[in-house]
Amino acid sequence: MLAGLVVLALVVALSLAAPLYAHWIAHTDAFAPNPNGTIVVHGQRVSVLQPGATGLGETPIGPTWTSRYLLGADGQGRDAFARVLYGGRISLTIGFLAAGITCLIALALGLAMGFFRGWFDAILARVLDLVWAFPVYLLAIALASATLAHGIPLGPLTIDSSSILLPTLIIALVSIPYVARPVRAEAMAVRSSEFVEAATASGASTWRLIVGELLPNVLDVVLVLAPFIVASNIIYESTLSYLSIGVQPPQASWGSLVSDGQDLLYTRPLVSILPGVMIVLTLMALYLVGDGVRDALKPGQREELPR
Amino acid sequence: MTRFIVGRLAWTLAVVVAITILTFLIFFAAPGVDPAHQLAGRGATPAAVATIKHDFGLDRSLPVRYALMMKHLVIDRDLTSYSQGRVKVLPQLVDAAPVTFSLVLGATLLWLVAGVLIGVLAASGRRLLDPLLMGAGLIAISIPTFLLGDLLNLITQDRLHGFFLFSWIPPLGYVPFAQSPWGWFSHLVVPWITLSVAYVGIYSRVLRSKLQEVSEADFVRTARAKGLSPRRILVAHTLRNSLLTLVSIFGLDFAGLVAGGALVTEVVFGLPGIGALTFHAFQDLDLPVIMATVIYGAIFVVLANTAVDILYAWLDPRTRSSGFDPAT
Repeated sequence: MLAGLVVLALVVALSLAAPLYAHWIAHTDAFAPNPNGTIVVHGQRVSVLQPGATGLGETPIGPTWTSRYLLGADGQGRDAFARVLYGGRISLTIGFLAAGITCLIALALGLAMGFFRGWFDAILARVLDLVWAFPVYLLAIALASATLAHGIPLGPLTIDSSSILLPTLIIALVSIPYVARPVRAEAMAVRSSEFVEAATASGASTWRLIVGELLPNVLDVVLVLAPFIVASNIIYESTLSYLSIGVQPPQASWGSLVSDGQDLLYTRPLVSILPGVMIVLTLMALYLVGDGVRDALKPGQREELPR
Repeated sequence: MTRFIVGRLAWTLAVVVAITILTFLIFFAAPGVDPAHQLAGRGATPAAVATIKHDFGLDRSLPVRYALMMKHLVIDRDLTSYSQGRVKVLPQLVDAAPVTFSLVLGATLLWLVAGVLIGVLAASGRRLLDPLLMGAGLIAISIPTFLLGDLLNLITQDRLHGFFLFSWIPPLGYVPFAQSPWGWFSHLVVPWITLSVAYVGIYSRVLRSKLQEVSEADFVRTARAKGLSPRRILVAHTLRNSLLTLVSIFGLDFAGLVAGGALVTEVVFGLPGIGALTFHAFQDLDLPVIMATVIYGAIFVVLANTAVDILYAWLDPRTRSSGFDPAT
C-alpha cells in the first residue's frame, strides 16, 4: 500500500514536472521534430539522427546519460525521456478523469436502480450485464468509428475529434457497469435495512432517502473500486492509443509512444519500452493502493477486474 | 429447472433486441452521424451513397430503418462493405472465426491450468511462496497485452531468435490446422502465452481469495474435525466449492474473447481473426464490417451469458430462482 502510494506520487510528480524538465534540464521542445539537430557528447559533436547501419533510414541517437537526450531520441529526433514525461500527463489525466466520470454516472445509476427497483431496474441491469460482458475494445471501436469523423456535437459545444475528451468519454462509458453493478447491489441491501424504513416512516422524501440515507452508505463501494477503475482506464487508454483509436497526434500518451517507437523496436528498443515500463509501474502502484484501500474499508469485497 | 430455463431464454431474447437497438442508435442516430456517407466508406461515389440510402431506407423513419438493418443482418445476411467494391461481410467473418477460435481455445486451456495451479499453490503456500506468487500475479495483470506481445516479439523474432529455445518459432502469421498441425501450433504458441498471462493473474487471485474464504467455512471445519487429510479436504471440499466462482467468470471471458476481445493479440501477432478484421475495418472506416462484428458478437455474448447462467444453476441449485427475476 505504502509502496504503491510512493510510486504513484512519484509518477504523478514526474509527469507534472514534464515542462520543467524539458525546459530547464533537457533544453528541448518535446513536440518539435529535430531531424538535423546535433549535440555534443564527450566533447564530440554528433547528429541526433544518424544514418542506419544498413544504409537505409536513420537511427536516432541512443542514451547519452547526459542531461540532453538522457535516454536517446525518437524517430524524429525528439527527446525520448521528455516525451515519456509528457505522455504521462495525458495517460494519467485520461485515467483519472474517465474514472471520475464513470464513478459519478455509475453512482447515480446504481442508486436509482437500487432505490426504485422493479422494471426500471430489471431492464437496466440486463443492459449493464451485457456491456460488462461485451469486449471493451470492440465497443470502443464502434463508438470511435461513429464519432471520430465528426466529434460529438453537444448543443452549442462540440467535442472535437482530436480532443482527448473523446477517448476519455468512450473509456468512461465502457467502464460504467464495473461500478454500477456493485453500487446497485449495495443500494438494494441498504434500501431494505431498518434505518431506511425508519426514515421512510418519518416521511422523508425520495430525494432525501437517496441522498441522505443511501448515498453515504454506498460511497465506500465506489472508493474501493476507484483505484482499480483508474488502472483499467489506463490500460484501455494505452491500448486504444496503441491502436491509434485513442489520443490523436500531436498529443501523445504512453500507449501512442509505445506504438510510435515500434519502428525502432529492433534498433532502439528503449524508445518503445520506456513508456511501457511507466505503464506497468503505474498499474502495479494502483493495484497495490487498491488492495490497501479495500483491506481498510471493506475486507470482504472482491473486485471484478475489467479486462 | 425448466421454469428457470424458459425464463432465462425469454430474457435472452429481450436483451438481443435491446442490444440491436442500441447498436442501431450508435451507428444510425448518434448526433453528428451521417450514416450513408459513413457506411459508404472513404471516397465513395454519389451513386454508392444513393444505393445505401435506398437499401437502408435512410430517408424514412427510425423504426423502418431499424427493421431494414435487421433484415440485412439477420434475414438476408447480405450486409456488404462498400469501400472495397461490394464485398459481402458475412463470409469474411466466417473465414476469420476459426483463427480467433484457435487462439482463444489454446489460451483458455493454458490460463485455466496455470491459474488454478498457482491459485491453489498460493492459498496453501508457505510463508514465502504466497507473496512471491501473488507478486508475480500483480506484474502479470499490470502488463498491457500489446506491450507483452511486443516484448515477446522482440525476444523471439529478433534478439534471441538464434537461441535454440526460440529458433523454431516461425515468422508472424497464421496457418490453418488442416493445412499443417505443427505450423498451426508453432504460430500460435507465443500468442497463446501473451493472451493468457493477464488471465492467469486474475484467475489465481480470485481463486486464492475464494479458497481462503471457503477454508473458514463450517463444512471445512467439520471435515478437519473428522480427521480428513489436508489434501483430501482441499480436493473434495474447498477446491470443489471455490471452482464454482471461476465457472461464471470463465464463461463470460471466453465468450468476450471469441466475440472479438482478442483483438489486441491478433493485431500484434498478425493473426487474421475477428478482432483484427474489425480493427482493419476501422482503419479503412469500413462501417458495415464493424456493425456486423459488433452485433453478431453481442448476440454471441448474450447467448453465452445465458448458457453460463443455466450451467451455473445446474451446478448450484441455490441460484435457481424463477429465472425471470433479474436480481439473481
